[in-house]
Amino acid sequence: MDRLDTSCDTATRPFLSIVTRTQGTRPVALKDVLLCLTGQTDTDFELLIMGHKLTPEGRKSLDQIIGETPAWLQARIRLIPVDDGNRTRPLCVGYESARGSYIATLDDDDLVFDNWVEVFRELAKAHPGTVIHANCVAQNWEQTTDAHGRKGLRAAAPPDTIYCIPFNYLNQLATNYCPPVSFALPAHAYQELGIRFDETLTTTEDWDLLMRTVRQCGVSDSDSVTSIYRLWVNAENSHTVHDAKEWDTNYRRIRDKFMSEPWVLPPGYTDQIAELVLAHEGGRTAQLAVERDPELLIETAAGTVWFAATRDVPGKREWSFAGLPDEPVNWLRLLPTRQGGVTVHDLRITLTNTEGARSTFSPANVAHNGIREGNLLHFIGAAPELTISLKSSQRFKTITVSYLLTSPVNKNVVKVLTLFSWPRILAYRLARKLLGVVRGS
Amino acid sequence: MQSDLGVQVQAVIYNNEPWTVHRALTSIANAARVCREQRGQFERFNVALGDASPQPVPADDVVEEWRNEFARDFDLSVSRFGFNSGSARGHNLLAKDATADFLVLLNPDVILTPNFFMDVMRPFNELGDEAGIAEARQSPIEHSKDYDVETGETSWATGACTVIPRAVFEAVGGYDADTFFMYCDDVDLSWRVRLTGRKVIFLPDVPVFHAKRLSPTGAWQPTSAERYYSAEAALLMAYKWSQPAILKRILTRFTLEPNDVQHRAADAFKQRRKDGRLPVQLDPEHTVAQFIEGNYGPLRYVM
Repeated sequence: MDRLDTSCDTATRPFLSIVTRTQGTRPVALKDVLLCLTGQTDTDFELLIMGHKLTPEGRKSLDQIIGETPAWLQARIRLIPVDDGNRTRPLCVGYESARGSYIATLDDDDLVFDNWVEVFRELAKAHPGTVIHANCVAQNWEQTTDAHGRKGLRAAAPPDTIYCIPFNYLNQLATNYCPPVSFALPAHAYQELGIRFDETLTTTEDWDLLMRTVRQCGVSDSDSVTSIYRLWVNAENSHTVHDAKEWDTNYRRIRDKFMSEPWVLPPGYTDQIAELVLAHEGGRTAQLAVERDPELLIETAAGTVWFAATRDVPGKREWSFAGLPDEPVNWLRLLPTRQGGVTVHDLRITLTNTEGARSTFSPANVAHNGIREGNLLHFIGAAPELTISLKSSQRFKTITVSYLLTSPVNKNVVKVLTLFSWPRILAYRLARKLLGVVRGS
Repeated sequence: MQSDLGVQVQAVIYNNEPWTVHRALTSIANAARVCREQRGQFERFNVALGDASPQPVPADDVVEEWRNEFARDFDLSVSRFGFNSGSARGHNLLAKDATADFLVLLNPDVILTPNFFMDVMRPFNELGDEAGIAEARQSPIEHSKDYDVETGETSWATGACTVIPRAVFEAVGGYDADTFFMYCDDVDLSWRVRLTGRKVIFLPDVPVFHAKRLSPTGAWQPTSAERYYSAEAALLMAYKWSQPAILKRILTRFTLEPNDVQHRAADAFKQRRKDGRLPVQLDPEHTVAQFIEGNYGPLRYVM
């Protein structure tokens, strides 16, 4: 392919309508948004810029910013001024005006990778009509001002994976783990089924709309990171504009709305609910940890390759990894979760090579960054890892994994570790120092 | 402010998808249009692509098509190197034939913001000869190296999008292509520019889109080649910039680590030393070079 298809036929319905609300007060961030859209690998979208309560200067600045974008992008942009209502109003008008099959909210301070539209389209193709949801990372950002008073932006922390992947109904019913930029809704749900924004909500209106749409349409996920939700550490954001009481009132109202509707959960949730109930009743000392499918990193001569697990039977804690490379593997690393304070029970990793030979690994014969207690592996810190280094490289046909994850770690184990942690740290530091002296000499 | 300056935007291609290069060219054309419409300083624009791929990328007929498409905005030339030059040597070859006043050293997967040619000239206008290099902010993943918020001064500029007066590039001898193939050529160039007393200025309000991606855990996914050249460059940087203690530490670690990539890098360095192919050492007083916890200057955070 020599070029992307950037032709724009206004008579044809685009795949995605992107709704961006702006008050014209964050021109540097808005330019970032437009630049990110310029970089999309899939250009089958329209962009509705909702100018909310624009001042004459804000409108002028917005016109200039749009006029500077490449012609192919300008052809996709509609600037729609909205002069009334709260912050939900421009979204309502945008979603009503959208021509695309899907609608996504992209705020004027979000960042998206070049695959943002592409991954949405893949999901929509594989699971038409569902809410489509991709991986989003959070990142702290700050506004800078140079010696001449010019405003700039800069990242203040590494990207953090704090949001919801895969989409978890139970977590989502408790609080919102999905920033607006991480999902797109089927247009027919909004425009035909009448699932609309609740304009009486002044915060978290996106959570309310997402969950009401998910309830009717279901959701499909992608692990691909396609966006960054910027958390502003020294600039205006929805947490500085709305006080805690307002957030709490809206939160309570949304929870009440959830309570007033019947919910049908997909397969795989009954165990989680049962364990939550048991934990609540004191029937267990630990509850099931927030569950996510494990990840696998495989090292071959070509580099490290990442794999997402697929669950063989819904609800059963057994996973396999599809599409393994037809190359010799030197070592593999399993990441059961990203959170710390968890215990892995009954771990079993089974590797079947291309000749059919099978080898099985248990806590006793894998390397790990936790503490082994018989058949249990305790991980106090974040990012638990289990590593298998192979004596000789092998090609694998299948890799399957099974275990149960609970949280928190048994308090007696933590106590023992805490008691003995200082001597261990001192011994470690001393050893490092001695090694440094030996190497330096 | 209008003057009769010329700029050459140059990129080295190695098996890139032609559509990604076309996407970058479209953004250069748009930025040139905005610069002309808003009476910016640049009057003449040319884009020089150096193709280091084993087979021509893009094909000759496509180049011709692109040349016609962008004729109104810039002159396009494509040099077929016929060998894998690496980015450093490729840029040197392209700069050799340049006549423009300024060079924009670009990765072929970088997209310029519309105001690029207006805004990147700021350090050169404000600081005059004190400005050596201007660097745009990469988006959506910004580099974590630190800079002075008030002045924009920073230790080095990433090679993804570097703006440098051609005279400065030539005065320092361009990239050190004999030493660096793929990594740290940009740090080395920046430090040699700084040795001449000029500054490297980071522009946080001038974004360029660099099409990178993160793993599902929010981390980089470097290829084996990237890890190898990064390891090799770490050794060469420590040697070239007169840091024997750091070199010894890294070399020992790479030799002991059960990691094939680092072993190979250590072996390659030792072979180069044996063959007498190490670069001339610079900055013995450490006035410019900064080696901080494996990085070439302070970081705001670790990715």
